[in-house]
Amino acid sequence: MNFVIAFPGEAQPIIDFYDLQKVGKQPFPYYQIDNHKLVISGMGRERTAQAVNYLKNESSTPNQAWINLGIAGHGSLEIGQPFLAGKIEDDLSENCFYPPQIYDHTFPVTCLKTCSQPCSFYEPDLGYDMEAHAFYSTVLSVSTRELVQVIKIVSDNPGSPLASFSPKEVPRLIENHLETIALLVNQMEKTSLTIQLEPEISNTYEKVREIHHFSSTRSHQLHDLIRQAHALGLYLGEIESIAQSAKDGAEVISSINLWMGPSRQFR
Amino acid sequence: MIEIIYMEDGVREHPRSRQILARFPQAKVLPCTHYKEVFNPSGQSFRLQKKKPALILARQTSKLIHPIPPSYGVGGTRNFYFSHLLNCLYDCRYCFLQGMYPSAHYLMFVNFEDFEEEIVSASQNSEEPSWFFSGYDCDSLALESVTGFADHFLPFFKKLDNAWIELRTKSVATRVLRDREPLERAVVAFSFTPQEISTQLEHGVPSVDARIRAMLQLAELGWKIGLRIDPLIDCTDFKDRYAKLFENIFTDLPEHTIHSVSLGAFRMPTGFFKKIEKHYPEEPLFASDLESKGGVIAYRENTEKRLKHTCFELLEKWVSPSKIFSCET
Ligand code: SF4
Repeated sequence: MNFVIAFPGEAQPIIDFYDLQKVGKQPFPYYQIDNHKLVISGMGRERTAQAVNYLKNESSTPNQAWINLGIAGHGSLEIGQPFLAGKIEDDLSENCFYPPQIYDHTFPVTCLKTCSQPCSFYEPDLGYDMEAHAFYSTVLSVSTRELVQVIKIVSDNPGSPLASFSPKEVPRLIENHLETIALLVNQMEKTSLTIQLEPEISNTYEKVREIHHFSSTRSHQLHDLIRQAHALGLYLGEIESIAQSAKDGAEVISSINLWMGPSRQFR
Repeated sequence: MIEIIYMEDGVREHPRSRQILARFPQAKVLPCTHYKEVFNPSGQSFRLQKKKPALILARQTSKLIHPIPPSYGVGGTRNFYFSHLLNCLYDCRYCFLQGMYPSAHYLMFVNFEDFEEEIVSASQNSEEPSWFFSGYDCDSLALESVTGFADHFLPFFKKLDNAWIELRTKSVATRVLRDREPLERAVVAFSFTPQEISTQLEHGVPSVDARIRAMLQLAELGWKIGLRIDPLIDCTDFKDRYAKLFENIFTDLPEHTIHSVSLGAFRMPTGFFKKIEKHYPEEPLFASDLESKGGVIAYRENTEKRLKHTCFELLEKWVSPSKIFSCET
């Protein structure tokens, strides 16, 4: 999971919960353990977009899971209530995002508006933050929309406006919901794995390419054939043997095709 | 079953939207200006959205009925399709919708009356009867409890004396048909593959036996039945599996209730195929011996001929050849 969080007070409960270790300070405080990563972006769109780009550069695997977590104002929900953004608007843009809601959870789903300034006017059924829209639009180049979600916890509402909110309360607001957040994190990570290509396919592909030279067209063909062989339940080790005994890339392709032929019929 | 409903601002007050909202009081309604904001963006995963599709309620403002070439019909010369709904309750791995649409959300157009207007004018344009196919972008009946589509359109078609409707389905939700008099110019077309294939490829679809039972009930009540043996899937024991399927379908189905049987081998526009293959790289069907020709991925010509020929021969035992149609690649 990639967490992008604006403030240290919002991040600390997650850092503690997952036992994340600080691995960098510049340009953003950066924490990690295993496949969990977290950056503290600072406030606002620009810092958020920069933090997302920074985290994108830390890994080349596409379609990882991403969460933007933090506090937000809300026109209807109670203080301390977490919610998921089902629609993300922006006060500077016409463009809205609709993160697809495919997970099982107990969070209410509501609209969220990213604003340039802290907001003291509340509309019913609408949340207010300063980061989500930039977060979402920046992540989209590396992850499918279902794997990008925004969770906010209500810090202020019409009955208890932002002016009366103390930042000291932030960690407690987040801590109260760590278990439910973790359930969502788990589902998102599992979902991300379901659309990752089997590592065995790329391993075989790389090994065969070390044996022979392949033009760009043949490289594609080779990759397709290895993927298909995997789909047909064939032993990929055989492809390496074929490559070893072939004289060039063209022969590798035709020999794999011959070998796979009889298995192609659907069962 | 529906947790999220995206609703175009323009259909918020539409009576059909209100009825649907009343059916899903727990669903969260999220407003949108135009359905394309939700449905069309790139970077969505059809595969992941199939886990829990949302419903989008919208108004179709572009073309409402579309011509289909005569070679795709079942005897008529003027053929059209219309889509009140895009996407399907089921999840057939060979379904072209997975490659055609960026999203798996159910997109329902609530302005049925606008469809009706175009259907009337198309059917009045010619002396020839017009055929309207409703199961092109969805299953015609599977989401009836949400859309009320057949309940609305069957009485409408009953009043048109120059128009036929085909409902194409893999559903057993046929109550909407059982509860009314059969229509003279309606065909209820059931699609089948052998159970062994269905189990592997037609996720969420009722069993072949259950569908045959639903079909027989309708035939007994006087509804005209269509059989869509499409897509034919080249598989181990092809002849035996299809022979068994046909035996199960036709043994108790009176010949006079059969309107038509159509056969079509697995085929798909190449662009759609590539997309779907990316979504499901582990699917053995896509590693079959296929070739890309003229923008379509299909079985090699010999294979397609063999599959169709085998099925024609098997079918002749049960149905008059004049009722058998071949869908060309
Ligand atoms: S029933 Fe038809 S429309 Fe639905 S998924 Fe299967 S092939 Fe597609």
